[in-house]
Amino acid sequence: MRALACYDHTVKALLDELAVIVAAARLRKLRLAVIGACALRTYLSSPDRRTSVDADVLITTDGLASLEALLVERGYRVYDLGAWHRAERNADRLVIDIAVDRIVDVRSFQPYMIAWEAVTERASLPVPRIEDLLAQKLVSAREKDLLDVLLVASDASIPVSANGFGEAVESNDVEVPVARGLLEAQAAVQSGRMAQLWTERFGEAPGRALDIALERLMLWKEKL
Amino acid sequence: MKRYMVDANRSVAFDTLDEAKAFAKHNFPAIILERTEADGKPSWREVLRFDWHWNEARGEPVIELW
Repeated sequence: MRALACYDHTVKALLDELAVIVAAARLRKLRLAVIGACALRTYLSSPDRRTSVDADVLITTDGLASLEALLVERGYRVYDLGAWHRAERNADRLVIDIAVDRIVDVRSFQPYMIAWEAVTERASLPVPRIEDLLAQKLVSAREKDLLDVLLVASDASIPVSANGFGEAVESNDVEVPVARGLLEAQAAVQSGRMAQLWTERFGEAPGRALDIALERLMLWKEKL
Repeated sequence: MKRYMVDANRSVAFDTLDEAKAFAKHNFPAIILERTEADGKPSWREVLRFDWHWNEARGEPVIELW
């Protein structure tokens, strides 16, 4: 399959900024992981298929104050939204959402914790394993999350451990929301909605990609 | 192909920015993307969002289109 275009190249500015923040956090010995779309794209064979207009990071409670100070030094306004903290820099419209200890889905307030020892280095960023990213996206289950999950599942070059996925879901006790997300993904494919969104997003029809993805999703579902 | 797409719980495409803004205001949090073409392929960039934003005058975060 040829590379698909999707988002504007301004994602480069976001990723460059994220790299600077990660490097500064390391100097301060902070335990930090990049999560969300910026993490997901490190797994894609064509990363520009998916990017984000903002960045999500995970920090520990004891590192939060130091991270906030770092961001303030870089020109951000940081404030507390309860489940998340947010850092905004108006000059370039950069937004960084900060999860503390756990990643909370704001629509359901379902928390998700990642195992820090499973955080790996990809594209110079500390990111969770792909199984954790997929489980979080299935908990959120917005249409763009489902498209992300299907994009990963359609790419056979991305190794996803069905057993690892099942273990990640079980350890977070999120079998029900993840199963619901998988069923929503299945319905969105079978109704034609995902093909429609894929075409709008990428400018070409998915071909067999969604069928392949769905077969893989059902294998993951068996592990729940 | 429509020019705008709003990413919220659902991702919905619109022909005009006014339509996209109206949808976004009913679907918090939402990000409005504008489609451009590069080498015949679509590319999307953020133009607005309906989301939390620090309001300098009030000294607190508010939900607004920004």
